[in-house]
Amino acid sequence: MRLVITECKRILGRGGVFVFLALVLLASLYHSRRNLERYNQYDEDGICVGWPETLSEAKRMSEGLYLDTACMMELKKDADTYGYLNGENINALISENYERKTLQELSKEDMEGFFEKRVETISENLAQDLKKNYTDQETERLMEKAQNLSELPAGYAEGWKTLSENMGNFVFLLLLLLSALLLPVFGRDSQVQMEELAHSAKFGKRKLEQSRIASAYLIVTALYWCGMAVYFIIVMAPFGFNGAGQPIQNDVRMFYSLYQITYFQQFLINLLIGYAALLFLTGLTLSVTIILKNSLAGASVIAAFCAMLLIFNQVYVYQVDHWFANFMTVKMTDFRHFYTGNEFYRIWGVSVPCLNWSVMVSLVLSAVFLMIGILVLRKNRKKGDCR
Amino acid sequence: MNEKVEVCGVRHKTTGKEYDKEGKGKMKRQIVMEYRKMWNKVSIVAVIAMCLVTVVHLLVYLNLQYRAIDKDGRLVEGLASYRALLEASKEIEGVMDGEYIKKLKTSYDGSYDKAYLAEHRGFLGTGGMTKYMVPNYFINYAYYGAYMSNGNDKVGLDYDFLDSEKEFYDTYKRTVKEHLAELEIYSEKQLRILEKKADRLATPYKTGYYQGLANLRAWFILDYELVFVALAFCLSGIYTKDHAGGVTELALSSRYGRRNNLRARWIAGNLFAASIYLIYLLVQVAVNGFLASLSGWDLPAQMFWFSCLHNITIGEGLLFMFAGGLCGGLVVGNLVLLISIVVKNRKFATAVSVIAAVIIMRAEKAYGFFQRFNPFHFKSDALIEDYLFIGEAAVPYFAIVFLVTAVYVAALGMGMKLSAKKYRMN
Repeated sequence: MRLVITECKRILGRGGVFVFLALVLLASLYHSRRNLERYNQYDEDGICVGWPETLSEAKRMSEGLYLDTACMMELKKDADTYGYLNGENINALISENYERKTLQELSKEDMEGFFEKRVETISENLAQDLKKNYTDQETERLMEKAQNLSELPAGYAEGWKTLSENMGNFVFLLLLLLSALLLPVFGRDSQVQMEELAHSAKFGKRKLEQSRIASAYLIVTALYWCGMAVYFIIVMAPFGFNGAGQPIQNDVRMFYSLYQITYFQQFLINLLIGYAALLFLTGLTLSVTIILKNSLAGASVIAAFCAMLLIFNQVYVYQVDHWFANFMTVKMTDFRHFYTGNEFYRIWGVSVPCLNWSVMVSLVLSAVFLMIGILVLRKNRKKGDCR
Repeated sequence: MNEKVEVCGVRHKTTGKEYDKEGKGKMKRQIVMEYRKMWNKVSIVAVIAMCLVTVVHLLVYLNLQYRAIDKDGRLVEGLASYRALLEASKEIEGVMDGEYIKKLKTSYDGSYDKAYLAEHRGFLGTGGMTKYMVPNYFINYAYYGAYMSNGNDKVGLDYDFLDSEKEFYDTYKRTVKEHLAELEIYSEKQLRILEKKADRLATPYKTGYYQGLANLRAWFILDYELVFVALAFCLSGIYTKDHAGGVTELALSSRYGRRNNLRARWIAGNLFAASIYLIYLLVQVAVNGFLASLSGWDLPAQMFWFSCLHNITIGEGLLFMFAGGLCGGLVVGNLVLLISIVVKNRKFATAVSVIAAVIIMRAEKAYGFFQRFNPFHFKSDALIEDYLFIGEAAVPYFAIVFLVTAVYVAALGMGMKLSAKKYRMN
């Protein structure tokens, strides 16, 4: 344990913690500012209503609000009934559900059939999505879930919506930062000849390597949760924490999602997906630096790998995403597709949702990378290789 | 010791000429030595990673995304589709004069391809290819102008202006002028100047197969960021103190060593940046050429860049893009060298260089001035299509790129020179 603590200190000194926290703080504040700017209302002279007023009005006027016929009728009569932001949100949901139609174009019958229309659109989307080649059972299962939504609270949940939308970018950035921290764990510095010393000690080799691996996982785990806590507080604080229990379909980006979960549950799931992606990147970074024995050479491979994932993400090819990119860091931190993609993996006759399978494969790959790293270390140890 | 001797420099008080030759020779040797030193483990790994990602990206996407209707009307999928399209396209090669357009209409109307496209509405928009794409898209541009895009609905030939060659090319030139106006980046006066250029376009145009070159252009742009990432890793150690190939006490302590050695490193760094870029380009050309051939170099650029106002071929247009790419690489290479000499610590210099490269790449999404002067934008289609105005003179964007590159490199070089003077080991 003492070795692990020493290694942790070597990887991340006091200065390192300070720099890490400063970067996380900076990124969180930048994200928060960008998020809040969207809630300013503008006229010809500039900002006419600032975000604090917009948000407090939305909070005040959406208590107990449900998106039902009565709500739509009220809004149709008077566009300001529920305030600016609630009105915008409800109109966005209506436009999404009724093929870009406005509220004014809807009849009472249309409004009454709001959820039937949603189910109909989901059914059409599933039928048109030929690449995914749904089986009858899968379609049935998805349609059952689609029908489960029979009422939609339209209360205030702006903080959670923003978090759900932008959290992926931050998690990706955090993952890159943490993997950069791990580069010196096995990436040796040619100018500091400590390897020979460590390897000449009686129990130095194996114990040192084990403690380095343990400390790497310990540090990234601690920093990930710490970084996410800082981000969560900074992003959510200006919005308030209201709306955690609202269903995610209340957000227009998630309207067609078939996951019956609340914003808070979605946040927890995203946190866990991000952690799985982190374990994958940690395994990859450790194995690459163990094999290359050089932190910068390892960094160049990780950078090229991440650049490749970002390049692959620019063009959608179903097979690439389905068989490769879904398990990799970029797609794993692009959380939205897990909730709206309705993608399945058929594993021994069982249809497993993309979210579950991606996390599982990512964890397995992480373990495989770690095993490769350990095997290379063992081989080097047997050879007495210090270079 | 009143003789003024410069080991790698220029002057000798009495026999300056002989020393001059020796000095130049030594400088050359020093550059070669510095250049060789740059091919260290980190650089080799970074360059191999860049090449591997490029090849994997090409092979995977070209294989999965594309399919073509061959000359017998069969659908060929994957990598074989390009050769099938090349073979089929031989039937539509020729100069698009009045006679050709009539034949094309008849051929297309009775073709299997047209019937297939009518049944498969998403074919062309999702990586499907037919031999009629090149001439038909060009003709459709004359109708749709700025709103032209790939797809089944913009490949038909039912246009009245196709009745005569003159009417077709007049319509085409008019559309080009309208397209330029719709960009809203030129004033009325500037538009008049560009319109005169449009009138001077040398029609009729030759048509044929160019899919290999189209892939080359697309993947060259898509993967270009790998060059910036590789440069950040390869060049960041040149001037650092903590790196085996970096600056040492010896290099700084000799009377003329500091200036000449640091200069040799700068020249070698630029040569190295150019080498990395050329390796990248070579991989792109080799893989694309091998898979889909480089046929179509001699077709007019307008077949590819519809609103291009230069009377050049596709090959020449691509060479301009490649030259622009080299310029972007050199600017970023010099920026990394500057970071290296200022920071002096290899790991920190690499981190700062990578962050700087990412910021430059992200900033390309900006509009106007910031986009046009961004080195990451130097490899874009704007090189062939855009003009900047200096007074009433329309200067092609590629000329501006070459000029701006010289300014960037000179400014960064000055920065390096200033930092070199103050370089201390402690």
